[in-house]
Amino acid sequence: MERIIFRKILFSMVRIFVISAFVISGITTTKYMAHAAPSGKVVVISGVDANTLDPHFMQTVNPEWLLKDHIFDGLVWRNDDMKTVPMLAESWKTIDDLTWEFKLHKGVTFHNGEVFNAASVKFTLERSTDKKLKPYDRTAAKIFFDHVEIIDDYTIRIITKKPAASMLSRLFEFAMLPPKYYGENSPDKVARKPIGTGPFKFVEWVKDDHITLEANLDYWAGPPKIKTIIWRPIPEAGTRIAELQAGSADIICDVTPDQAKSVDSGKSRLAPVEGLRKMHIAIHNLPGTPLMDKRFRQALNYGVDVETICKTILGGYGKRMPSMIHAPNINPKLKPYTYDPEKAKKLLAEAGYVPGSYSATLDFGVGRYLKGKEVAMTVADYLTKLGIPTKVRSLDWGSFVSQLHSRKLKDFFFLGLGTYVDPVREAEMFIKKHINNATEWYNKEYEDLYKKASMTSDQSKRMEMIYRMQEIAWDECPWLFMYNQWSLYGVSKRIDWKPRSDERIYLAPVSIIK
Amino acid sequence: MFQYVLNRLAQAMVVLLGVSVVVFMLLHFTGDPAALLIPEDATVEELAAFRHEMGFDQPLYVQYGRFINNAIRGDLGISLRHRQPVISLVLERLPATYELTIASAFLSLIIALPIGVLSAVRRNTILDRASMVGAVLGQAMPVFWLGLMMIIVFGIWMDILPISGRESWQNLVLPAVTLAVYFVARNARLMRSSMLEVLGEDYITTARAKGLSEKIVIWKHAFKNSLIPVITLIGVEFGTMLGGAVITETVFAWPGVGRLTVQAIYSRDFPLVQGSVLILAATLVIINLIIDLSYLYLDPRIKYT
Repeated sequence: MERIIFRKILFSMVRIFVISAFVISGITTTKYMAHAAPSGKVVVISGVDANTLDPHFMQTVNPEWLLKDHIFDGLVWRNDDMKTVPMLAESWKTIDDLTWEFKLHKGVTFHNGEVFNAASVKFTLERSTDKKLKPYDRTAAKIFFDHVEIIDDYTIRIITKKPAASMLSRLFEFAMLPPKYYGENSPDKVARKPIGTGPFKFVEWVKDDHITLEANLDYWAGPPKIKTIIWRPIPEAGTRIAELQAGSADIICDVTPDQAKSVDSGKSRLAPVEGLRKMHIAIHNLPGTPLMDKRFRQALNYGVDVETICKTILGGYGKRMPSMIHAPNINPKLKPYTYDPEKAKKLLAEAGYVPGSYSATLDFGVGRYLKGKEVAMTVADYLTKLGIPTKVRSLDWGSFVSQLHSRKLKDFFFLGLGTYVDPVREAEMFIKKHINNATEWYNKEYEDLYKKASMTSDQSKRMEMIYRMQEIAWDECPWLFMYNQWSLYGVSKRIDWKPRSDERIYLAPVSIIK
Repeated sequence: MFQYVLNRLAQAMVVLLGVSVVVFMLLHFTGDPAALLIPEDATVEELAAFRHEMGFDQPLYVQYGRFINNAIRGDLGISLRHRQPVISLVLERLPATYELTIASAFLSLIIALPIGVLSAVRRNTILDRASMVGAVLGQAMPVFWLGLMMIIVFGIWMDILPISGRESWQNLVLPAVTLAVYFVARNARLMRSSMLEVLGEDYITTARAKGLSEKIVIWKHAFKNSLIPVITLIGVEFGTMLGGAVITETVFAWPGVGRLTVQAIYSRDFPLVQGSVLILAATLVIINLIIDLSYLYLDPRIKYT
């Protein structure tokens, strides 16, 4: 009798232990520890409305990609530390140079009930290359996509035409779509009523007024803490700040340094973050001009006091970049160029430049970058004091980009590129055929290193090449290297959101604190 | 009159054709639309392939011919950014723009006309001088600045009206008043001048001599005859309002056609710019036709053949 009782107690304890183990592992593997039902509403204000909610046609980070991050999931995610982590793919490995195998999460459904599986991944990749649909998404081209092999319902292989070392960083941007819904409905319907697997479901879109999202209670990683997100487009900066001050907004974007004080008071706080966008003055290698000489270009880097520009015009939000690549991939041998006008003049003399003998034009696009006009005009002043009379030409953004792509911009142009984390994608900015490399600078060693690095999976070899590319670019100075643009947000004190350096606003883990 | 209306509609077609040519040429001379559609990390070859896919590498007359051929059938093309038919994008937002413009026009009339009449009737009194100073200020204040001041005062300090958006009728108050201020000022001054001119006419003296009350002389005789130049101006002003609504729509985040068109211009969304400008031009043509026909009521001497 005692043995029977003892056995019953033992089995009960084992059962309790096993159930607890499952529960605890379930809690620690879910992304969000949401014990309470989602509640509350968060209002985010951007400067413009989305043009489409079809991921294959999205082109703006804010707000399209930000909305995409809430409605859809990708195979991988980039966390707040800018590291790639699993998402709809639990794990991955390379089978050979041209084959990536992904194991997919089970038990994930789209908002319309369709099951997420290997067929979804195949459909999504193939749709992104549909010649009839003509999507803008270039992920497939950038990963040299050839075809997908379905091994089983939750295992797929992506076969590429060339080694795709940037596979994971490209897949971060790539949202998974339900085949039935996107296959059977017209492009304009899906552009306005998206369906994904994300932590929030689409509710409504009143064009130029608001987009409403609601918590996905069946989200595979646990429901978010907030019940409703309202995304509003308000073009005028003053109006955005007014809404924040009135308590009708929780996050506003594109705050300028001179607006920082008005945002950082009362019901709201300023939330600044150093971004990934590399601000620079590109130097157009025009044949027959001093711009072709490396020493001339180096002189420009010594001749402009970027630190003072950051302190005064940008209100302290910025510091001179030590490389065109971000941490943690910066070559430790490189240091930021310092302001040294004497050294600059010496270099100009070595290059055979006679002060005042070359007049230049600095182009910039209006209304695109934080304090862009002021920065461009200040740089022009520094260059003029250096003996290179420089006038500023302002263009509307569309004309600026058009001339950038057709290589019609003048001697210098103010640009901000590369909101990437993958160092190979960052290094791509200097290759000759890059659409935005209107400097027309070319270095064979750099190009060869880039090609090899983009096809090398061996991380240490890849880093060696990336370090060497940085050394070349730092020495050759195709740019006047300036600073990484900071993003300034106004945030209501009722939420615990922190900004990210990649300009993404992700609200799934955010809660309302009061 | 039917013949007159038909003639005016035929002229309208010519006007719209002219507008479409001018807009098309201006847009294409400002730059390549593909430039803003292609991703930041595209290559030069991808840009060329994209331009070819979208037909941007075709000669301009081919692109224009395709556009006009479709426009005649009511198809204004697909927006490059939104990937939606242009006509549905514009029609979706037209009600908001009309709402704002009509509200402003209505406000400007109900405030400006009585002020103009009273200023004329009580010429050189304190009321007259105060009204005209107010009118000058109203015309001098930039819409942009006025809008932001209204937001600060009524939206933040007093917190009695919503700041932006189009959720309810209350959202219309601030933008409508902001847009109306300039036109109230202008119309009040014009009404005053027109009234003063009419009040000096012989038939007004005759009406008074016949013993009619001042109220009837002013409102039945003088007011009606003073309206013709004001109504003409309102027709022209409607066009200005539609254009001025762009600034108001931007400040108050009002989801109208003006804001859509400006964003389309910045993003080089050619089909959307062409389509929205054509629809706005057609609106103006129809409004002016209605204005011209209203003269028949205001002045029985006017006849159209």
